[in-house]
Amino acid sequence: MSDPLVELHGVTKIYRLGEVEVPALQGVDLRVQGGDFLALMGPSGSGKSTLLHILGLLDRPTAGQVFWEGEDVTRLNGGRLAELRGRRIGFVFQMFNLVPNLTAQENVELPLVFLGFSPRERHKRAEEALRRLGLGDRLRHRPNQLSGGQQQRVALARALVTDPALLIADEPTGNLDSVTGQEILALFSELNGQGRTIVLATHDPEAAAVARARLRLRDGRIVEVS
Amino acid sequence: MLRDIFRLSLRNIRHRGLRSWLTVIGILIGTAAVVALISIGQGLQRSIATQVERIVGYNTILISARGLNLGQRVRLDIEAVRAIPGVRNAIAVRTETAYVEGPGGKGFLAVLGYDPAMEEFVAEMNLTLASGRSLAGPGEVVVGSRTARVLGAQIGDTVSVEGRAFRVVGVLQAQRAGGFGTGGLTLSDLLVLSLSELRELFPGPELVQYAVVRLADQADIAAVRDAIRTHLSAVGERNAALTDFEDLTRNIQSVIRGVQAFLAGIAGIALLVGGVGVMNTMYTAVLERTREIGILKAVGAKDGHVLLLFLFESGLMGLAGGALGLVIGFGVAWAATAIVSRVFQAQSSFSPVLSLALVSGALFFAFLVGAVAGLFPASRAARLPPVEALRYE
Repeated sequence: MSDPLVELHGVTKIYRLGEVEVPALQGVDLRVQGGDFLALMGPSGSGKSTLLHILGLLDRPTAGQVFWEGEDVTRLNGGRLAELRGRRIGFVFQMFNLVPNLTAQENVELPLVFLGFSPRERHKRAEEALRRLGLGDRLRHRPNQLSGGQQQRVALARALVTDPALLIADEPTGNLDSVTGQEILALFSELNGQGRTIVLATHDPEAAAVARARLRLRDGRIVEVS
Repeated sequence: MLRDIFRLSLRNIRHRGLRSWLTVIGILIGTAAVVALISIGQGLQRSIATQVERIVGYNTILISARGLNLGQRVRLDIEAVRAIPGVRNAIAVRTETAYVEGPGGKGFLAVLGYDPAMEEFVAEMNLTLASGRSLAGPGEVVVGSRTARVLGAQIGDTVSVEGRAFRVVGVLQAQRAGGFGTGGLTLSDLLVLSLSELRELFPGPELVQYAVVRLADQADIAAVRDAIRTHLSAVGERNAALTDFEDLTRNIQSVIRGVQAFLAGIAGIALLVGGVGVMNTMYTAVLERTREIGILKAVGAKDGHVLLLFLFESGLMGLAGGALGLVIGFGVAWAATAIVSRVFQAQSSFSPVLSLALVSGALFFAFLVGAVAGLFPASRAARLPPVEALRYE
């Protein structure tokens, strides 16, 4: 068995809301291997998103350790984390989260900008990524000129353009109708078939069904693995 | 990468459209005010320097009552001053009020004593003739244009000054601004007769409004000043002041600079208010784009990138306001000086000066105001934790 991609050891995350401490994760251990396709399930507030954020290095645990490809990244500074995110992780969100001022192609180029790619290389890669997702004729469109499904595919292209080791998706079908949702899920399946590691959080049993393993969370703990 | 962040900033500014313009206008007004005031001030300084030089001349010393008070008189002997080594020429302007009767009118008039030495100063004193000729012998007078009307006198007529008869031989040209004139008197109300005859009509110690001393080339101005002082104390004059070209320009310039600094300070406050406008816009932008900041961070933007993005935006708005303000401010300065010149019919119109230092200073300062105003909002944006930014609705 290969080295794990991400490993969480006893990860606890506590949010403070004024005087009240709200535990979002309580001592979670998790190991994501290369090629995995995990679905995190559970009701709202069960800690899915928090777990996803910690896996994606968008947030730090209150206690516990995070290892990325064998390296302890728990105490890494913001700049190094940003670099790791840009290089190794792709994000897809429920709200698509495209930059409204930028065209589809420019949105996809964004991660490459921060990695310092040359404009020519960026254009080429972004165009390729969009074509692969069937958006070759939407390069110059802005997000508000695209349908929800198209926007999510642009977001997916943006997540994949850096060829990341891990694709993280937070309710990727939550804002899509079922047909479009199916299309996106089919894309995830296909990507995982090509060896892409994916972790997604979802309410949707259909979405969870596409994954190879399902982790059920409740009150900040993983309560079931199937 | 910097270029891309810069382009993104530019696009964000354009995207905000009207609001960006309003912000830019805040900086624009401040910069325009500063530029207009400074360019007018610099133009004024330059113009005054040349005016003073033309009137007083580099090699000229003015003797007057302290504080350039021409109402106060100075006791001196102009012949003695003229005899000081290093003095090329010296004239004293002495006027008295005399009772004058003409063919068609009478009254008390200012009478100026004319001295052949004044020949050299005729243009500066505005003693240019409109008709007739200048004084050539005893018993002759030249009158101002209004004096001629008041007395009903024409060339060839006889007028009586303090009971003595004089013949009118010339009429002065209507007065024009500039030149050092005749001690606060209006030339058109003047009557000019020879200094020697004025002395006969008004015997007693010679009290003059002021005297102008012109130095020979290579003369030692300090030595001449000392000699004049010695003479003044010899005749018992304690209230006189000597002013040369440099004193005069220095005094005037320091007054202008003071006024200018005051006005520029007010304009600077306008610029500061513009900066607050930029800050407000940027804070709003940070709030509105909180989510976008989260996205940028999720795809690998570091704090520094986000900081730069917002700093570019605010700095660019400052720069745009500065550039437009520069153009508009200079335009306003031009228009203002043109109007002032026309209204006051200034003999020598002056134009505002746009120095390289002013151009670069205004642009740099406007950029700086924008950037500094953007600093707090930008650092706030940069420090936002990515998760919180993404969660923002």
